[in-house]
Amino acid sequence: MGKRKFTKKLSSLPKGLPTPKSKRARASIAESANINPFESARASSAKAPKFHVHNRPISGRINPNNAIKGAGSALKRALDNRKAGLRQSMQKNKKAGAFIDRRIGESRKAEMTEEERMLARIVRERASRSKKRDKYALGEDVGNDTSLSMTHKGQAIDESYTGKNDAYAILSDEEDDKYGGQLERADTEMHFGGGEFDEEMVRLANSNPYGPSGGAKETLGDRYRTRKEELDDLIMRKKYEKAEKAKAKEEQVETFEEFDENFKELASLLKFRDKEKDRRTVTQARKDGTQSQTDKEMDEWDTEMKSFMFERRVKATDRTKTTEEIAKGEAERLHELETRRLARMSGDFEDDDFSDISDDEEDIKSKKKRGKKTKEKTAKRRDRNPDELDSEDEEDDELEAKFTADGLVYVDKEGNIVKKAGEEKSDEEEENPQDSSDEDSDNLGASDDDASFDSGDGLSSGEESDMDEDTILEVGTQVKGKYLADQQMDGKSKWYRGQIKSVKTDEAGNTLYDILYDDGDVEEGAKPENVRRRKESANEKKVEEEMKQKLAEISSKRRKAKQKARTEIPYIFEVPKTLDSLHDMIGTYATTGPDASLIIQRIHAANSVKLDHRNTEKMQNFYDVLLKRFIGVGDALCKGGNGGEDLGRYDQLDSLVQVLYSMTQDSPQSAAAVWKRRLGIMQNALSKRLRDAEFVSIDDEEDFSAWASTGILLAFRAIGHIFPVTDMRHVVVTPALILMGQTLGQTPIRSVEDVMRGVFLATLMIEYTKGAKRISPEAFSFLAGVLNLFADNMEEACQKSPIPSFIGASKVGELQACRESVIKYFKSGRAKNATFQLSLEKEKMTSLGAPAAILISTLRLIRMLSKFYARSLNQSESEAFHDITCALLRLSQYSSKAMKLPGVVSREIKSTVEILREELQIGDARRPLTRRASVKASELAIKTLAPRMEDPDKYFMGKDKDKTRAQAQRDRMRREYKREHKAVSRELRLDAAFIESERRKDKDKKDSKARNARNKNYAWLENEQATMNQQVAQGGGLLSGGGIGAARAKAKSGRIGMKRGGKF
Amino acid sequence: MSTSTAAETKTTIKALLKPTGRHIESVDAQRLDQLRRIYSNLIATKQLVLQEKKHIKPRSDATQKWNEWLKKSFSTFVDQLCHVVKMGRKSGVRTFIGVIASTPKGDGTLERIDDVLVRKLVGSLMDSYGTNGDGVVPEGLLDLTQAEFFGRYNDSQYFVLVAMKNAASQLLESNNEDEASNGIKAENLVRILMKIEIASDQDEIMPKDVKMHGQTETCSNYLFLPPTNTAELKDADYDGDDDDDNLNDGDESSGEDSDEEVPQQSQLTKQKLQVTKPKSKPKLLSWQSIRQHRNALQSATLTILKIPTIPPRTLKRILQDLPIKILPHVANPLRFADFCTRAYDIGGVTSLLSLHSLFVLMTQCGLEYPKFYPSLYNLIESKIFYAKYRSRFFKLLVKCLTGNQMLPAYIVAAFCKRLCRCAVNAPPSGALFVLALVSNLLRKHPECACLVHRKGGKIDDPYDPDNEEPAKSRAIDSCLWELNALEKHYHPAVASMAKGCGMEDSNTLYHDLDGFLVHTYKSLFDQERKRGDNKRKSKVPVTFQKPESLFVDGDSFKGIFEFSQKKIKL
Repeated sequence: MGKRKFTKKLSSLPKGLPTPKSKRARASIAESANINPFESARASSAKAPKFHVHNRPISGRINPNNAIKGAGSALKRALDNRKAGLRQSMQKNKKAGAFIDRRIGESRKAEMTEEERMLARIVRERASRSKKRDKYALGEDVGNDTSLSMTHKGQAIDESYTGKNDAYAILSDEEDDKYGGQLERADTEMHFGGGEFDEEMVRLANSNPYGPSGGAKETLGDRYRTRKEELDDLIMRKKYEKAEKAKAKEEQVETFEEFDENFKELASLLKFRDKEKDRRTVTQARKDGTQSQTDKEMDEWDTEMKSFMFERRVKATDRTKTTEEIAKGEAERLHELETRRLARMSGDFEDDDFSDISDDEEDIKSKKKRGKKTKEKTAKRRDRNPDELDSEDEEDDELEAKFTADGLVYVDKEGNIVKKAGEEKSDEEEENPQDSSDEDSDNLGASDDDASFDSGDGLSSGEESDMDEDTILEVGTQVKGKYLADQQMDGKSKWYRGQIKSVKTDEAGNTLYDILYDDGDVEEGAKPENVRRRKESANEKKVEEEMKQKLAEISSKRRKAKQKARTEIPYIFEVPKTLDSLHDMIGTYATTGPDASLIIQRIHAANSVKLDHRNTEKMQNFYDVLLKRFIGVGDALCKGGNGGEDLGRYDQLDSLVQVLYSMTQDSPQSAAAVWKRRLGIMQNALSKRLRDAEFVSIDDEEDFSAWASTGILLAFRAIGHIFPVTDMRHVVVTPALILMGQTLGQTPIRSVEDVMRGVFLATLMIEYTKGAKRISPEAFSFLAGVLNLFADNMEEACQKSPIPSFIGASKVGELQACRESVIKYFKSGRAKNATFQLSLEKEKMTSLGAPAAILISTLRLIRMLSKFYARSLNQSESEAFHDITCALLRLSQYSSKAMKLPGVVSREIKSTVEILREELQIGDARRPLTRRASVKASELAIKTLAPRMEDPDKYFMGKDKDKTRAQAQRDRMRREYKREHKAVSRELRLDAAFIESERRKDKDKKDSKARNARNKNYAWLENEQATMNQQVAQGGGLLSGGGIGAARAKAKSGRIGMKRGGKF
Repeated sequence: MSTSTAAETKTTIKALLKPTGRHIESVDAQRLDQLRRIYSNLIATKQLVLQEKKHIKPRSDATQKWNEWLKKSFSTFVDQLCHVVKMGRKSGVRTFIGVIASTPKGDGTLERIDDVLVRKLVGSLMDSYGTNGDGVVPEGLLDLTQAEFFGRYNDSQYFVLVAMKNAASQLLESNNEDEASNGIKAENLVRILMKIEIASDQDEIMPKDVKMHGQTETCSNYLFLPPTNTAELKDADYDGDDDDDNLNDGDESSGEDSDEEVPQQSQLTKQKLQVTKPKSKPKLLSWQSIRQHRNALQSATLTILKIPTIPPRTLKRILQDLPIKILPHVANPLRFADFCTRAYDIGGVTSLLSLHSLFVLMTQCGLEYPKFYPSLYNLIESKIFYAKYRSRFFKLLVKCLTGNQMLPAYIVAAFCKRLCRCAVNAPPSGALFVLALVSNLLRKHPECACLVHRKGGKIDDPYDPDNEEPAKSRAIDSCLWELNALEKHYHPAVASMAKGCGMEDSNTLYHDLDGFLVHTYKSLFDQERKRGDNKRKSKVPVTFQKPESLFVDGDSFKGIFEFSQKKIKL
């Protein structure tokens, strides 16, 4: 007996079920097969039967006949049920194709004998036959069941019945005819009639002016009769309908026959044309041009239709590629290109088809081929499962080119870097080209054609050694040369094939050759001793000629390719971790802005998150780097403008935005995280600048601005492209908006540049919010503030600006003179061709026309605004635009004539005011707010104060006594739901427990088998060991091993007959 | 007291009084401390008697002369100390406090702080040279003085208050100096004033344990322990009722009183039972009574406030603390009403701060100030939502508008309208606050519901935003259309609050306005930024159209900004 545990295990039996405590008890139960008296006890709720009533089932009674229904408590029953149902379904679970015998009794084979089963089936059969519905089925198809058909005198009334055709006559047989139905009537009268009173009644009925049925004096006999008549009627109607049907059928057959007849006539009318003749006439007519109009049209129609037949049909395209596949394709292409480029750089032209060197059509073909090949390769790589113990090492020596941080490397199967591409290989070649030439081919699988040539030359070099060295070779002669012989190790050089490009003589009078080697290298000033004419036999020459043509083609391509490869930007880059490393990369490979953009694009394409989710972290880091770069480029833009075609900073920004966009699409969450962090940094920087601004006085000469740099402003613009700005709430856009609002509202303005930046931000806020027709108060206030700068009484106007950015502006000389400078600018006549556009470039920001540009573009912006928000602010336009309106009105006031704004500007102002007035309907009558919902009737009604009295007649005890009807119903429902819920959860729990216990049982069964086997083995082993030990203990040192403790030691000592304890 | 020792003492004093090593702080401090010790010793041994007592028989000539010399040298010493304090040395202040502690006035049973010395200390704090010659007394010095002197001992606090009043009145009279230095001096005084924390009731100022174990000297609330039997001292004139000047003659009277006590000493125990019992309240010495403390505070503050050259910065500081620290404690707060109304006229933050004081006076002291709500109304403008003191202002606003149930509807309506009008230009934090406040007000004053719900056809807006009188602005006839504008605010919280504003039913709880006071741009920004951080798989929506370039055709920038030559061509 173990300790009693109160925590209920899943596997433990449910509460209330007696568990046999010991094996013995269990055995006794099994033996006696008696039902535990506790188990068979009634459910506690059931009442004891007071009287024994025959034929009434009593719950909780033992029914020894039925194992399921009988034994004991409901709980026991439930358990048994579960065992019967759940266990079976558990065994069947996950087994497909099992045959289920659904015949009656088959599922409970164990419980029923064969006879019982049969009996059950018969009972079911009978029951189904004795369905009431069959009794009155009077349709035609009942014929098969003779017992239910209508008979007359033992004869079935059907087609075979040879009665009279008259439907009515069916009923009137001869005997009835005789009595004219009187007999029957008499019979009924006799049995059910009213005796002597009946006559009287008949008389009365007849005397009734309203007919026999007028009174209530109907006799029972009458009623019976009417019933009979009704039945007769029914039968008659049925018969009649049947007859009608038969008649209709006959008629139909007749009609069909008639049609058939008619068709023969019609068919004779149809004449088949002589097609051959017809055709001939048509062609004749066509030739002669004497066709009728309709024929012509028909011809045209025919030709058109035929042309459609030959038209190319649109084939179903492949499905749209997923983003992952696109990214993968792009990365693979780049990898391929990069591998080839690196190979070319190191002069390795094996399986290089120069697809990018040669013309276009080749290009396409080769690409296709390439694609296939790489696919195969990758497929192979995929197939190899790293976990598998691969016994077949077929690709043992095949090295895989891989691109890593060190460049292109060859990697063997285990992933060790075998060889680096490029420099190592070329070193080797230069050092001992002859030695390596042979190995090269199989070792690296590279430059086999080169090597074969060379080795051939090496052999034949002997015959050519007697060449006359004095003769000067002509240009174009095929030669062999020692490439850069002076630099090779003591003359141990190799002969390469080549062609003499030019011949010159140096100061000393020595002849020098410029040789163009076949592999694309060029050597200038080769000494004559290093150059030999190539001797060719006749057929060699012929072969050579052919080769030459091919090779010339190839070599030119190779040369081009090599050159290109050296200057080209690599296709694959590692992801830079810092901005500096990115700049290094750009500094190394890129010379122009587009190059830099290309590099960044390639970095993204080759390392996209869609390729490999492990890239996430790297790319998130890179995202941040890109953001920094974006801001950096933006700042540079401010300082240096676009920077010409080469730098193209705007284009760089565009491409950066695109890369950022696609990276965001790849993994929006990490992008959002980066942006959020960046925004946090910007916010901190802003608050720091705001603090600083309080300490830097306006008179300070130093160029201090609390405004965010251009790069950051442009970054804000980029957010709008990357994340949706119309969302009600967005993790990136909303903080960005708040940050912009803060910048606009709190950053003090100290120069014209600041104003421009502010206008930019205000425009950006409007751009963000206009899509969803939202308003950004800070932007509106800022624009009003900008207009106030141009007011005549600028100082006062600035004080009225709703945001504090402008409060300090009245002390800045540059801004005080805004109005004057506008007037001056227009007077100077420079404004003629000006576009009055703002810019973020420093040069343009500080130009003379800047104030005028600010004023005019602000006015433009306001016009645009009024169109955006017209009728979309729900009649609150005048409030939203209140400050702007005030500022506009202030603009047009002037104190002296000198301060009057030039005509162009005042016209602009006027038109702006008009548009504002028109679009926003400022000052018009408006509909008042109606925010309160109308009152409900229940609220309007006077509250009753009468107490709710209880009706003593309807008194009841119960939980719901004091509740209203609805409440009571609700509570009842809730209780019921609770009960059900409890029951269901209990059932589920018990099911789970049952399943678990079954599972354990199964497992035990399985384990015990293994355990038994093991035990057997152990027993055997122990037995053996015991024997051994015994023998060792007895034997004197002859046997080694075995024994334990002292016996062992003594056994070792070699003394004979020593027993345990030192006794013999 | 042999002359030989006197001669020695004289030479030491003479040597020490020479200001050697004045530039080295530690050496100088040591020197002064040495002097303090000598003097305290002298006073303890009665060689140096600062106050002459008439009735004591004249001492011998030598003693008299010695005393005279000692007195002279002592005053030199005090002057030197004053100089050191003015220089802002903490050691100087410490020594000064030590001197005050060892130089009691009076003798025998009643000893008290020498008010002349306190006056000198306060005066030198006021006339401080400042750290870099600007005359502003260093904050550390004040903290020290507070911690070790007037913040610690109740009697010293009283004397400091009295000394401050004197110093302020002197400053008032001396109008020969330039305004700037006067202003700074006034500021110094104000700063001392701000440091003073007055007790709230009598028990605090005179804890029970003093009465119980008077002789055991366990109480640290007094520099010089008051005698337990104050009732018997009969220093009635010292315990002046309302007379501010009782201090001037106080020293003499106390001297007189003290010797009278001596013969009565024997009868004390007998009388105690008889006299103290019928008196429910024992008579207190002036520095023991809370009333006197309050009077001293009031007169000190009023005198300081009279100084015309108080710089605005200091004024703001006083006004800031006036309603919290001073007005609840002074005897007659209404005497500050004039000052507050004058301060309101200055405008800006000052008027706001003075409004707070005025509100306290109105609600607690029954001041009538009909201009109050119009003044408050005029203070509400867009700029205030960006001001640094906005949360203080909003707190006051909430208090004034929600604390008064009897406000007429037209005033509430005017406030609502004006607040909403400003909120349209306000930062999101301000808008949130306004919406919460307006929503609360509309529910508290159901008669203002016409602002959000009005039947009938189109109306012209009768509201006059420029009218300074809330009554004449006709806000009650208008509607809060601003709510519609705020519904379109870019900040989602503002938009949703604006949507709910005015729609609440009776079951909705009032907004907790304190929660709305704390919002700033930064807090809102952080809140939005961190939103969804804890949700693991929150999806981030992205755009679905790849941008062609940074500035696309058709955005708001077109025609307003030029971005490159290429774009212009397009």
